[in-house]
Amino acid sequence: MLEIKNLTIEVEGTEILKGINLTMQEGKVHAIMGPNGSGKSTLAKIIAGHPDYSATKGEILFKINNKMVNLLELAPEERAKEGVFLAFQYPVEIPGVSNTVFLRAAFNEICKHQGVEEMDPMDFDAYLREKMQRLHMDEKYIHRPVNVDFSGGEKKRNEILQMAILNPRLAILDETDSGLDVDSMRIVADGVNRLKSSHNAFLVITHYQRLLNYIVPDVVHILQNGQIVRTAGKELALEVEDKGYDWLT
Amino acid sequence: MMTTQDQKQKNTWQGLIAACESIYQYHRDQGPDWYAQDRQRAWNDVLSTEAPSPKNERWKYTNISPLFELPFVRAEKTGLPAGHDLRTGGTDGTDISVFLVNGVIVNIPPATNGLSIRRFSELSEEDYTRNIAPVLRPSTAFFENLNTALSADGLWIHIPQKTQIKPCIHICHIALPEEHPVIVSPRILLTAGPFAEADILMSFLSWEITTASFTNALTEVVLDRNARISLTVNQNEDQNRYHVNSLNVLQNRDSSFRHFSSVTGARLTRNELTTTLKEPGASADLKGIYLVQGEQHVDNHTEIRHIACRGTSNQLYKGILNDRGRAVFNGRVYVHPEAQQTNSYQLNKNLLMGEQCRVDTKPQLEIFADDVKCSHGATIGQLNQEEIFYLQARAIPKKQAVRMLARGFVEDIVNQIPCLSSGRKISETIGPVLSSMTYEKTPS
Repeated sequence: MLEIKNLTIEVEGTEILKGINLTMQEGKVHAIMGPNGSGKSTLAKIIAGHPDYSATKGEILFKINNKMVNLLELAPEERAKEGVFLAFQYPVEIPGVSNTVFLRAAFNEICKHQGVEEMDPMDFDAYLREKMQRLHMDEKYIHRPVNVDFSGGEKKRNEILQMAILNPRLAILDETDSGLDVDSMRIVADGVNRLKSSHNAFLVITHYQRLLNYIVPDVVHILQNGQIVRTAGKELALEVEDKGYDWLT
Repeated sequence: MMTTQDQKQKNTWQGLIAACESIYQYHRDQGPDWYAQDRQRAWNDVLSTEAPSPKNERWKYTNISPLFELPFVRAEKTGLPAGHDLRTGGTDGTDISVFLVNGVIVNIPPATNGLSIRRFSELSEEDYTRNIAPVLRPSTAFFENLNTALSADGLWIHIPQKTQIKPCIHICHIALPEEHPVIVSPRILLTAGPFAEADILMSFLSWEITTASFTNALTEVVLDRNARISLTVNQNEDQNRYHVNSLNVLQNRDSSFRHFSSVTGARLTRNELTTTLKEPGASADLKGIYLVQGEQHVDNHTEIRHIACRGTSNQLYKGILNDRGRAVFNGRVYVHPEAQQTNSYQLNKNLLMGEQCRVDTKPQLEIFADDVKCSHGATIGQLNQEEIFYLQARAIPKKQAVRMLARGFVEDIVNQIPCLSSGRKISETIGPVLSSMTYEKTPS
């Protein structure tokens, strides 16, 4: 469903990603690990369409209606409507816009795109409350402005809530585990595992192996200096945990 | 030396004075003697005051002189328009509502709960001496004196001591179209006794698009000790009008004044807000938003006078500018040598969303006490690209994302209006304005 081919990104003359190749199938969880500055977040952001990054070479092909379409040619909101979701490493605070208004606007955009009737506020409220309960989120977050005065852990949970509401086909989790205690990590992982199906795929970006105890990957990639230096099964994560990254190059 | 421009200004100024003179003469002898004397004093002051001009520091960024060229006459349409019921423009139909049409009071709601609402013209010499004279101070400001001299009548609202007035008191100014330009001079005095509490909404609305006209409003507020008043002003007049709103507040011991100003209307707006924290422990919370588009110009001048100790003032003004809109914020905070332990905070934030709009923002702190906490700040910028991207990444199209964020920028403080029905009214007013703005400049 996703095929990244020779993806190369330059920022101010420096190559951040140097010809990334990555293929993902439906129903699979891929993990990307790597040291700081290896290009993990850049990869996540360019898939979602962040305006700071543009590819100098390569393409990101994504299956839309059984055709492979280059995501680089779509606006960020078009990608989201087609089922691409990025859980942000640093979720953005939006004063003055309540969580429920924001979530319903997002949800209804996707309904509209799929030709499904929009959900009215009452029904949406019930739908939202149910999802929040599963993530052990307090009801007070329904009407609070998006991410404003949320703790680090609550912000990450709010990202997973958005994912649960929007039900994407490709979810990219950008260091969702950073800043989470063990209990919150379990809840977040549980949220991901519930959503997993044979129709969607997850790309989990992380520094540490511990999240992968809860979200078990099918494939692990090591990204170093803008290149994927190794790809293997879940045991690779344990090996990295044990030996660090230096031995790989 | 007098330049040609000075001469031109002087001529138009004399034209304005001549036009106003006949309005003044018309009202001069209406009502009780004390009011006639007050008008006369004010008119004499108008004649001896220099016209506001960009040469004066207080008027440096706001050119008011086009106003002087309008051939003003007295407003004649002073009744509620056909099809208007007294609830229109109110908050939820249950308010205590007073309507003024083209500056003239058209109704006085029945007295409830000790609340007193009266016309100046009905007040006897004794009422005046006991209740009005001690609190009404002669002004030195040009537009305040012009209001007093030309006012048809005044409105006095008094909230007696230890009384909590519910629901909200709504003062609704309606502008009606006239054939010629008119000056409208509504004059309000609001007094709150010790421990009195009330929420007030003041609206300025146009019934239809009017001829180029001028609303010159004056509101004076006097809070006795421990009185708590919230005053929300919703100015949404049509784009042909000039609007000057002078608001003077006097705060006694431990009183609380919470003000919210929303400006979406008029071609040119000048809000002059002065509050004097005369006795210890008073607090003033002043918030404002302005949504500026087309050729609109909005100027907020605030002056907080900390005269006594332990006073608190908090100012937050936020504006969104589009097209060729202009905004001015001038916030002066004065802290008297005796006003120790003053806390004063001031912030002005602007979103510039038009290629040709402009903001002039100027804090002015004059602090003569040493044990005080005062801060001020101003920002002028665009929407944050990360915020826009965040919404886009959630399937919200960029255009809609920009609108949501702009709305959030102001809604953030609209949500803090203490009176819920007033807050709702502001939200209803700004909604369509926010939707109609162009937002031509957004981060790419």
